[in-house]
Amino acid sequence: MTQYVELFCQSNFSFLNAASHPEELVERAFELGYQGLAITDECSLAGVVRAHVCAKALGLPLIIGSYIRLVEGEQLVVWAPHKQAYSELSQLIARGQMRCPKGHYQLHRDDVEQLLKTALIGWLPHPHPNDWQPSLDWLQSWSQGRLWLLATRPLCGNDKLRYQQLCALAEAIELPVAACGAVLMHDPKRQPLLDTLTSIRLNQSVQQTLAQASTNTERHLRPQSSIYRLFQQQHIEQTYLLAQQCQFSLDELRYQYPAELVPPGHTPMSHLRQLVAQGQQRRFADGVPLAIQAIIAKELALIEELEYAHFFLTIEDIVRFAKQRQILYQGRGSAANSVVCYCLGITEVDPRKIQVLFERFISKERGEPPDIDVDFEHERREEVIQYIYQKYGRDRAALAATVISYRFKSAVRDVGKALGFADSQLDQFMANVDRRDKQQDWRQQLGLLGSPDHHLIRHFRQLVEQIIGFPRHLSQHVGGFVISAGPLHQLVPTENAAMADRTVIQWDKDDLEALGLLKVDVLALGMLTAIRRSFDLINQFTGQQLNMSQVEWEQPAVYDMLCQADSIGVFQIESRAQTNMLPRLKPRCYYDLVVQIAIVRPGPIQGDMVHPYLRRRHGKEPISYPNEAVRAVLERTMGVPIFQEQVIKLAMVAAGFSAGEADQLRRAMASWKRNGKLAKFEHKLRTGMAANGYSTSFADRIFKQILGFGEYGFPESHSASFALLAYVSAWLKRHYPAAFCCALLNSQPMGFYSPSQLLQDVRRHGVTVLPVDINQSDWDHQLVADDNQQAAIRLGMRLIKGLSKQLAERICHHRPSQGFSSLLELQQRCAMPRHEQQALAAAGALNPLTGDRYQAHWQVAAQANDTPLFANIEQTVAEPESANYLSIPSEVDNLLQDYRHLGVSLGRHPMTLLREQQLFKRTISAAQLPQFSHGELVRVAGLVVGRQRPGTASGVTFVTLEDDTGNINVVVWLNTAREQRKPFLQAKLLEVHGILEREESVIHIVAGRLIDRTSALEQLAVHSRDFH
Amino acid sequence: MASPNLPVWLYLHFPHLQADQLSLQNPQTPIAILDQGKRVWQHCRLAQASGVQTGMVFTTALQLDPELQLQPQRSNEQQQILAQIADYCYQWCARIALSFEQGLLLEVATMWRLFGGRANYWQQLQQALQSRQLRFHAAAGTTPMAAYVLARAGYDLPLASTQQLNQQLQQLTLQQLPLSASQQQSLTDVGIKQLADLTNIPMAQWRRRFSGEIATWLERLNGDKVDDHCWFEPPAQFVRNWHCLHEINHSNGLLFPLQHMLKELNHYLRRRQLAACAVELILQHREQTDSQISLRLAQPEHQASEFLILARLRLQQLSLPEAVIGIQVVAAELVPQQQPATDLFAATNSHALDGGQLLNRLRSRLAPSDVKHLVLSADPRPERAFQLVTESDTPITAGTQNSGRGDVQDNGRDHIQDSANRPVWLLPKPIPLPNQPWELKSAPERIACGWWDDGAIQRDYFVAVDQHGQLCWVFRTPANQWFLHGWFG
Repeated sequence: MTQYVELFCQSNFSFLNAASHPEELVERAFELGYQGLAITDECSLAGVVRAHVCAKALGLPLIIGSYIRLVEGEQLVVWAPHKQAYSELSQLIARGQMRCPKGHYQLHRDDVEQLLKTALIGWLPHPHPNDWQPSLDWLQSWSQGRLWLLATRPLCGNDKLRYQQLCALAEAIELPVAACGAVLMHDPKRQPLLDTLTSIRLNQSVQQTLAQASTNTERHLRPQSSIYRLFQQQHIEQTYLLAQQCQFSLDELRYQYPAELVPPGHTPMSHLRQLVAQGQQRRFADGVPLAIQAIIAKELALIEELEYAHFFLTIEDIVRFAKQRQILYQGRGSAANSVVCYCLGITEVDPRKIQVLFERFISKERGEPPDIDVDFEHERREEVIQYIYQKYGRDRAALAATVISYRFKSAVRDVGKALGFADSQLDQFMANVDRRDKQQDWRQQLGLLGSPDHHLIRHFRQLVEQIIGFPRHLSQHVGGFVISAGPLHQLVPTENAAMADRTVIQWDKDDLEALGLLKVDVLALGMLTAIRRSFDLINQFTGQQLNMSQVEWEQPAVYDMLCQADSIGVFQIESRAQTNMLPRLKPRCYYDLVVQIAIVRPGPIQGDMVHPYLRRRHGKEPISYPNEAVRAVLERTMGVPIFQEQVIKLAMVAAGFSAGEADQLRRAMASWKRNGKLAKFEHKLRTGMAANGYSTSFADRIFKQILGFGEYGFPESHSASFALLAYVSAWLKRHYPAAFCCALLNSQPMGFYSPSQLLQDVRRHGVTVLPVDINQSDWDHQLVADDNQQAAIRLGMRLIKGLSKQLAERICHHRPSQGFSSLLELQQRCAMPRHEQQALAAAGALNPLTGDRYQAHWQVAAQANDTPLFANIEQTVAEPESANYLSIPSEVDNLLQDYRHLGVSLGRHPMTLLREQQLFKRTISAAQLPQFSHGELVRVAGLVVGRQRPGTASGVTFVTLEDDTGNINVVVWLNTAREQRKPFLQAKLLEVHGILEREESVIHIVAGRLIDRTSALEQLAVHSRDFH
Repeated sequence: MASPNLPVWLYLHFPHLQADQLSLQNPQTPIAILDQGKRVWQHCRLAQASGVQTGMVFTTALQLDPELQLQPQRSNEQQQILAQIADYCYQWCARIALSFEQGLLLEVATMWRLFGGRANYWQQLQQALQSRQLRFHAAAGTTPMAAYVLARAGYDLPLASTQQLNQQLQQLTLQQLPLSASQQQSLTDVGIKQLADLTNIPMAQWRRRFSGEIATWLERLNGDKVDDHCWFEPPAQFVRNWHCLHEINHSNGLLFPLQHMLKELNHYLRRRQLAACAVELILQHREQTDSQISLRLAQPEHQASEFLILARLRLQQLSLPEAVIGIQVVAAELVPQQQPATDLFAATNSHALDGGQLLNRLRSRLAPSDVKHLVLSADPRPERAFQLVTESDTPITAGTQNSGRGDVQDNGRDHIQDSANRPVWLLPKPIPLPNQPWELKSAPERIACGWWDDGAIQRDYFVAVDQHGQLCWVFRTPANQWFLHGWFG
C-alpha cells in the first residue's frame, strides 16, 4: 500500500497559483513515503532545480514535468522520461513563452504534436463527458503508447461519478489511467494562503472572490491511506509504472561550449595554453618568477582536469572585444585569485602584490564552476551585451533570471488588501514599523490594524509570515549570461523579460550553480566610465595621449592627499565612513588601499578587527603570532584577519580543515545569522585548534572575528581589484582635478556625492567653474581654458532640469560660431517647445541674451505663446527689449533658482549670505573646527545634506551639514533624536550645539541641542525650496 | 475699477473643517486628513499640538504623533457640514453661498441695520459660529474674492475698513493666493512675490503671455468681473452623517452616534416647527451594500426621545451582517408640527401610549421589504449561499458566478455545484442527529472552508433517505457527528 507517486503537483513557481515551496513539497512527499514526486508547474521549469537539490539530498525520485493549457482547451501534464524528452519539453515551454509578453504563454495543438515526440502525456478530462471525444481523437492520433488519462478525486459534488465515467472510458478505449492529486499545497493548513493568492491574482479581496476560493483542502499531498481508499488499486499501479519510466535527472545536464572559439588544429586546452603563454610574456616582461610559474601550471592542470577551458576562452573573447573597442573593463571578485586570468587580461590584479588563493576560485572539492564577474563602463556595457547576442545568437545566449519574491512591504500590501484592510490603514501600519532597527517588531505593531485577537489580524500575521519569500515573477539578472553551443532551450526554457529585446532563462544563478552550469557576469561600473572620460578630456585639452598604462603608480603625493581625507570622488574611499578612516589608517602604498577598502565594512567593525589593526599599524601594540603558519596567513595585515580568504586559510592551517570544509565554512559564515549553522563549525574549529596547540584565547578571538565577519567578509581579491581603480581615480584627482571632476559629472548617476558637492569640492581646490551658457555650453560638461589658461569646467546643459538631450544637441548644431545674438534668433533657428524654453530660462542659461532670468521668462512667454494667427501682427516685433516693470532678481533669488533648476549654484553659499545678515554669529564654520580640541563645546550650523542610519550602530544617525567652507559631521544619538524630533526630522537648515570629538584630524560633533533654523532661509526670500 | 466702496461681503473660511468635525465626534483622538498626495491637509487641535502641520508627508506626521488617525479627504462630507452651518447661520443672514471649497460667503451689508450696526452684528454672528466649535477665519471684503483670499490666508478681519483690507491684500505673498501651482510658478518665474508686484504689471502684457486665468482672477478680485452666486436654500430634508473611526461590530455600539444625530434632528425640527413621519437609518459597511432600517411612525414625531426608543427596539432585533463603518440619518418626509390635540377623539395622537401598544403599532408598520438581507451567494458554505434577498437584489448563485468551465484547474475551485446536489429546503441551522442516519445514497461532498470570517466548517455532505423515504441532505463532522441540513423535493 505504499506505491504512490504524485504526478501532478504545482509549486509556488506557478506564480500565485499554488501555496508551497518546491522544497516543502519534496519533503512532505518524502515523509508520506511516496515513491516519487513530479513537479509540474504551469509552462515553467523555474522551480525544478530547487526541488531537485532537495530531492537528491533526501533520496526521493524526482520527475520533471509541466502542466499546460492549450488554446483549444485541452489540459495536459507532460513528463520527461529521459533527456531527449526533457529537451522536447523545454523547447515546448520556450515556444509557448517566447511568443507572448512577460507573464503569459500560448500553446496550440500543433506545437504539442510537433515537439513532443517522446515525452509522456497525461490528459485531464473536461467536466462534461460530451466534450471528451474530439480531444481524445486528436491525442490518440499521435501519442501512441505515451498517453494516460488522469483521474482526480477532489471530493466535490460529482467527483465519484466522474471517476466512474473515466474508468468506463478507459476500458472502452484501452488507455491506462493514472491517479493524481492536482496538488497545490503540501499541507491543508495552507488553504488560507491559497485563497489569498487567488485574490491577489484577481486583484480583489477574499470576500470579493469567494466564487474562486477553494471549497475544500483536498488538493494537498494526501496520506497514502486516503489515496488507496479513493482510487482503484490498478490505477495506482499504473501510476507507479508511469513513474518508473521516468528516470531523467537534472544531473544529466551538461552543456557544450561554443566551439567557434577554438581555431582549427587546436583543442580548447591547447588554445588556452597558447593564449596564456602569450599573456605571460606581456605581463611579466622581466621574466616570470618561479613561484608564479608553478601557480600557472597548477591552475592549467586543474582547468584541464575539470574541463573548464571553454569557459576561460569565452570570457577572454569578450574582454578582447572590449579591448578592441576601447571599452574599459576589469574582472573582479574571486577571479582575481587566478594568475591565468591575469595572463589572459581578464583581471588586472598583479599576483605578486596580493596573496592569491586559487582554491577560492576553483577547487575540485567544491565541484562548482568558477565565478567570473567583469565590470565594464556602465555607459558602454550595452555594446558588450549586444556583441554577445550577435556572436552567439539569441537562441544560444540568454540572461539568467532573478526571482522576485515577496518581501515585507509587498507582503503587507497584498495580504492586507486581500483581507480587506484599507490602504490608509496599511500605510499607517507600515510607516510605524521601522524595519531596519527592529526585525521582529512588526508583529508587535499589529494593534494598529485592529485587536490582535481578531481572526483577521491573526490571519494577517500568519499569511504575511508565510508569503514572505514566495516568488512573484522572474526578472532578468543584472548581467549574468548563459552561453551554449547548441540552442539553449534544449537545456532550459527561455522566456521574455520585461525589457524589450531581452530574454531570460527560467533559472536563476543559484539554480545554475547547483547544476554546475557556467555563467559569465557582465556588469557595469560607473567609475570605469568616469576614468575613460577623464583620459579623453585630458587628451583633448592638452593634446597628450594619456591612458591607464601611463598612470604613475605609488606616488607619495597621491597618498599624501588621501591621508588628509581629501578623497571626494575617489572610488570606494570617498564615503563619510571612509574619509573618517583615511587619516587614521594613513595609507602609503597600494596594499594599504586594499586594506582600507575592506576594513571599513560592518564585518571588521563588528568583529573588532579595526582597532587592533590600527594600533598595531601605528606601533602602539605588539604583534605576535602563535607560529609560522599563522604568521604566513596574517602577516600582511598585522596579525589581524581582515579578509575572507584569511579566515579560510586559518581554518585550514590552524584547525586542520580541508579546502572543501573551509569552503563550507565560508558559506556558513555568509548566512549564519539566518540559520545558525555555524555551531558545528565552532566545535570543529576549537577542537582542531586545541589539537594543534593554540591557546583558547586565540581560538576565542578567531571565532569572534568569524562571527563578526558574517555576511560582510570582504574577499581580498575583490578589494585588490577595487584598490587599483581607487588609486587611478586618486591619481587623476590629484593631478587633473578639473578633468576628473568634469568626467565624474558627466558619468552621473554614480558615487557617493551629488553634483553640487562635487563642484564645491573642486572649487575649493581652486578650479574655476563657469555657468551654463546658451552660447557656450554643450550637453555634457566641458573642460575649457579660463583666463589663466588653466583647465576650468564649463557646466553643461545636462544639468538643466526639464531639458532634453535632443534639444541641447540641436542648439549646439544650429549655434553660429559667434553665438546667438538674441532670444529671437535662437527661437528662429531652433524650434523649441515652450516648456523647454522655460527650462532654459529658469536655469539662467539665457541670461547672456536677456540680462536676467525674469526678463528671460518674460520674453520666452511672449514669443512662445504666439499662435500662427497672430504671427503677422506687429506685436511680435514691437515689444521693447526689457520690461522695466519687472523686478531684478536678487542674489538670493538667483541662488534659490539655481538650486531648484540646476541642482547647483555657483554663487555664494547660503550660509555666507546668512552670516552677512549677522545671523549665526556664534557658530563655527567647518574650516575652523580643526582649531578646537576634543571635548570642547561648540556651535555649528549648515544645510542638512545627508542623514544616514547605518544598520550596525544602535539607532544613531549621522547627519552631514554643509556650510560655505565644507562639511560638518554630526552624530545624533537615538535619545537626542527622540526628544527633539521636530528639528531632527524637519530642519533643512540646522543649528547644533554639542561637544566636539576628535581623533587626530577626524572631527565629529556629538549633538546636544538641535535648533531648526529653516525659517532663516525662508526669510531670505519669499519662498525657500530645495537645496539639494 | 468698479468696486463698491463698502466691504459688503464676509467670508468664513474653515481650514480644518473635516478634521474638526471628526474631532467633535471623537474628542480624544488626534486626527489628520490627507489629500490625494498623502500629505496632511487638515488636522485637529490635538494633532496640531504634537506638531503636525499642513503639507507634511503622512509618515513624518506619524513619527511626530504615533497615535494619529489618518483619514482621506471627503468633499461630500465637507459640503454637507458646510450646508449644516449655512442652515444654522440662516437666522443671521439671508444670502449665504457655499463658496470656494471650504467656506461660506455672506452678503452682510443688508443685515447690519437689522442687528444694530456692523459691530453688533458681527458679535452675534461670531458667538453663534463659535458655539459650533469649528475653527474658522472671517474676513470682510469689497468683493467676494477679496474676502475669500484674506480669510483663506488666515486673517481675521471681519470689521476692517476698505483701506485696511486693501493694504493687507497688497502685502499678501504668492503662496497666500489661491492660485494653482503652475500659475504660481509662472508668477515666480518673472519675479513676482507679492500681490502688489502683480498689480504693477500692465494687464495687456500679461494677457499676451499667459492664459487668461490670472487676469480673470484679478478681475474677480477687483470687482471688474462679478461672480454668479448660488444662494443657499435650507434643505427640505434632514441628513446627517457619522463617520466611524473604529468599526462598530455590535448593534449596541450604534446607540451613541444615533443619540447625537437624533438630537440634531430634534433641533432641526423644532426650529422649523416640523415633524417627521419616518426616519431612515443607513448603516454603511466596507464590503457589502448598505443596510437600511426604516423607523416608520404611527404619527409624525419631533421628539428625539421617541426616535431613540424606536431605534433601540429595532436595533435589538438586528444582527449586523458586517461591521459598520459609517451611519447616515435621513428624515425626508416632513410635515408641519401639530399642536397638541384638544380633540377628545384624538387619543391616539397623545404621547402616552404604553409600551405594548407602541410595539404592536411598530410591528404593523414594519414591512419585510424595509429590511434588506445581504447575500453572500458566492460563498461555498451552504447556509451562506442561500440567504433571502429582496426584489431589488438579484441573487447571484454559485452557478452563475463561477466563470470557469469547472475544470480542475479553475483557480483552485472545483467544478460547478450541480443544482441536483442542493436541497430545495435548506434549514437555517443544521439539526444534530443522534446517530448515523438512514441510508446514504451518494458519495461524500467535502466542504472545508470559511477561514476568512472565522466561520470555518469541515463537513462531508451526503444525500440520504430517512425512515419516511424522504431524500434529505446530511453531513458528518470530523468528530463523527451527524447533522441534517435540508430536504430534497
